[in-house]
Amino acid sequence: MLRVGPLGLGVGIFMLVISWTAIASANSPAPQTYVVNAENNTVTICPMSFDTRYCPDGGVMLRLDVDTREAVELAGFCDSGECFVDECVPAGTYRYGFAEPFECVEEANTDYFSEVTVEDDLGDCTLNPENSGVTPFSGEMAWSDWQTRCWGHYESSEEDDGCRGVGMLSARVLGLNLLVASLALLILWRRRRTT
Amino acid sequence: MHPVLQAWLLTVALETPVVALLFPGRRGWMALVCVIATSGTNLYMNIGLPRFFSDFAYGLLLGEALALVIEALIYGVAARKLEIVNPFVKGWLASALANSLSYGVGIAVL
Repeated sequence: MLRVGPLGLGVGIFMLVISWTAIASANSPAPQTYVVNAENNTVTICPMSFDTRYCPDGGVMLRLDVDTREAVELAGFCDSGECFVDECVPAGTYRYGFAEPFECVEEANTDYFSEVTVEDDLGDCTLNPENSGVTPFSGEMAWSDWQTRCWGHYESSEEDDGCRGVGMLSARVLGLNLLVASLALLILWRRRRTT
Repeated sequence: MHPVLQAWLLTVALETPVVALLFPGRRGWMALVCVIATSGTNLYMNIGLPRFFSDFAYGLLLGEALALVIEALIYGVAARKLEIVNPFVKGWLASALANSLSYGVGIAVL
């Protein structure tokens, strides 16, 4: 008979939980986030949300430079798909999102921003005449360093803005720990009975 | 107080008695092992992991799972060195119970 040691048992449970998480998440709707694409030095930012905030009236769209932490406000220049268009972006890694983040929803993750890397050095670049460019953002940055503001299936609470994000996640973490504790107790009990 | 420091102190304060209680006869040594192991996993989870995972949920889930596994193995190895019966099974039990308690209390009070 195959003997499974404590290490094997642990790895098995770990893999089981990780795969269970992926299956469970597949039932969730798409997150409220931003689909961001960089082509040469032009970045297109398409908001995906349940509260229909699109370009140009969805709010102030920000670009945060991950290295320098400098934030700028986009002008609200849009393409035909109601996506924000940021032209003449220098090479670097940036986070894009609304200055006022999406409201959390119960069924899906809600992101503060999406990240993109522009690889091309900025050569001669001219803005579209309708695009007034970017201006420094002087307001208070509402984003956390985590991309996700709220995790789907959060437990709603007035006190913490409904964004605690610990409902199903807590169940998974505690479930994993209690499952392992139960198995260990079972093994100890069986060993005690056989000795 | 910085939230990372709060989380670390709370974790050590809650987990150390649980681990010590589960290893009678070697409580002092196992409490010391717990302080060291828990400090390492908790600080890494709260400071190190967020740099690699931008998604809160997966970062937390992975961090908690890793903490469970790493602490269980450390307790198991330490318990075997101290000639405790069933060292690894007790290591898993100690890690799982201690982490359940600290996670549950942590999300309630922090």
